[in-house]
Amino acid sequence: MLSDFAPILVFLAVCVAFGAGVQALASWFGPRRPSAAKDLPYECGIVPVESARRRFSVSFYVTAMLFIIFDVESIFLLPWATIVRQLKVFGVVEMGVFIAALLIGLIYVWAKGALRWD
Amino acid sequence: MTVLGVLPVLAPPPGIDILGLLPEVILAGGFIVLMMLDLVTAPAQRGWLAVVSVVAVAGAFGATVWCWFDAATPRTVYFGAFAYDRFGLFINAIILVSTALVLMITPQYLNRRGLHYGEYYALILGAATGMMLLAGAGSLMVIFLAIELLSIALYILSGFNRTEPRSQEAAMKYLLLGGFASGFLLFGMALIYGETGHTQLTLIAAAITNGGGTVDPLLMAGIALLFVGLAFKISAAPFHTWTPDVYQGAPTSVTTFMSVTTKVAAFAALIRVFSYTFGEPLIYDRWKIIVYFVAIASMVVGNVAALRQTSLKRVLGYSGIAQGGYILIGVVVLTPAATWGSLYYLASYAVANIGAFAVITVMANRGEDLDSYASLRGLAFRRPYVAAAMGLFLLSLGGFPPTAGFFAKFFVFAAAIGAHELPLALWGIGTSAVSVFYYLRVGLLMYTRPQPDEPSYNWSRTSLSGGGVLALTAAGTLVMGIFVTLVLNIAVSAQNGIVLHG
Repeated sequence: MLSDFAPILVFLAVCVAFGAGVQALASWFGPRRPSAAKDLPYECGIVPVESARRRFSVSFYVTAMLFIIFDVESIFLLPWATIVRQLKVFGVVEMGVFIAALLIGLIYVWAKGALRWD
Repeated sequence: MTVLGVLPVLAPPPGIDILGLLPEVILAGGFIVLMMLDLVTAPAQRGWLAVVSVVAVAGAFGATVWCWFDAATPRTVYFGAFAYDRFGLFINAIILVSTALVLMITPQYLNRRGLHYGEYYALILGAATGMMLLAGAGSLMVIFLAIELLSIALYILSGFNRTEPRSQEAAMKYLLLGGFASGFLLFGMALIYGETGHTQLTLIAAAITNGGGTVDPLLMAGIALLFVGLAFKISAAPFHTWTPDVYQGAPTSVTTFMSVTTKVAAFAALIRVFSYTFGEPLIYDRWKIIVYFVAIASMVVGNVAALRQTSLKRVLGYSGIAQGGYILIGVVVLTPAATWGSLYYLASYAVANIGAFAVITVMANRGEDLDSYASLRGLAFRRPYVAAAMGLFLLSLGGFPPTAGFFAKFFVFAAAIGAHELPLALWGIGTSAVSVFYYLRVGLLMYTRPQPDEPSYNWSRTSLSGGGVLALTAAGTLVMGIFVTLVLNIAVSAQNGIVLHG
């Protein structure tokens, strides 16, 4: 059974070899001229204004968690959409139940004030 | 004929059978309803949420009883992902009765400690749903999902006393170690899947049988890692280190709940996976060594460490580790008698342990939990009925007749001796003798008259629901110890009914 997974092992080996190889080649053959501007952290091209090591509002985490939940919902919707015709009405109802449960969760966090920013 | 089959348009495709999940669906529905009710319930009215949750649990229990008669011929539902059999339903019944008892002692305790938030009830029902799914899980993926569902709810519940550092510590410890254990569990599942090509337990068993007499070391590594993940949930030594801290730090009503139901559900999965899926002699001979060692280690570590504790919650935590060791004997031994012995043990452990923790819960006053040995002194002179009930629970946990614990130990040890595993039974009997010391010590403290100059403790008055829970658990402990066959017949039937073929 385990030999079925040999292609994955080969794939992993190729990935590691390619990544390490490119890095090694670049460091051996590439020219190196460091400057103050090059050593700055890359922030989408904008000059950083201060250290990133500061406290962030907990609201970011709550928003991120809510995002993940609805992100996963859309991931579930994709495979469901490909076979919804075979599942007939039952499949639509099932997905309705799933989305209703998520909707109730949304109502809950809304009423609890998790979506307020201040 | 399924529930939705009444409407022809809504007829589900073959293989999907909601009936097989009826108790779980009812409980999950209760979970969602409670979440919504919490939003519209005034803080002073939150006691009604407890009533609603008890109604949901009662509904799920009714469905479980109905399914018991319906599941005379066991089968798997949802393409083999879930087992619809009396074994799972027996565990469901223990979990639901325990949940109802915990919900009955909860509102008063939460009010006293100023923790009465509505989410508590929703989370308890969510955890119970996860445990019931775990009891019936027929596939590795369902086992993982069920464990995550119950764990995440319990992580939050153990940190429910948000302003108390000890509760925060309990939640943090449980979360970190639980996440670690989930990692082991998943890694083990991945290796088992890699070796056998299946996640469904019945197909894994068939693949191992057809393996041709050789055992791949990676399969054994997967089985060992899977065992580590489940052993963490039953808090078996040496994976027990979180137990006393979490039991002590979590609100007592939560400890009551998790100390019993998590263990019961995880043992159901352990028996289903190890005794009935990995029962093939070739691999049994190998994993038996691990489980054998863990069973003895749990008995020794739990009982010896409990001797040195001064907090009743910690004593019961270590005692739970030891009890887990005794039940593991029923997993090591593969005979049917060992399985129904374990089931009987789980039921007896549930009533006695819920009762013992319920005593601590109903005694707690506004400021503290009153679980130290010093605060127990003289309880019998102020609250004679509570102390008598506590004494009964301790006798049951210690394995004295005529309580449930005596026959539970008797069945498990007898099964070990019947399968020529005399050393296991001797370890069990020897460590039980050690356990008598600390159980009796608590009992003696309660019946020791306090010195005149000692501070008197303000034990809370026992409410009607709290007294009712103590009366029910005490009655259960005695009934299971005197009219043994009542529960024994159900346990034997549950063992007979376990589903073996997809």
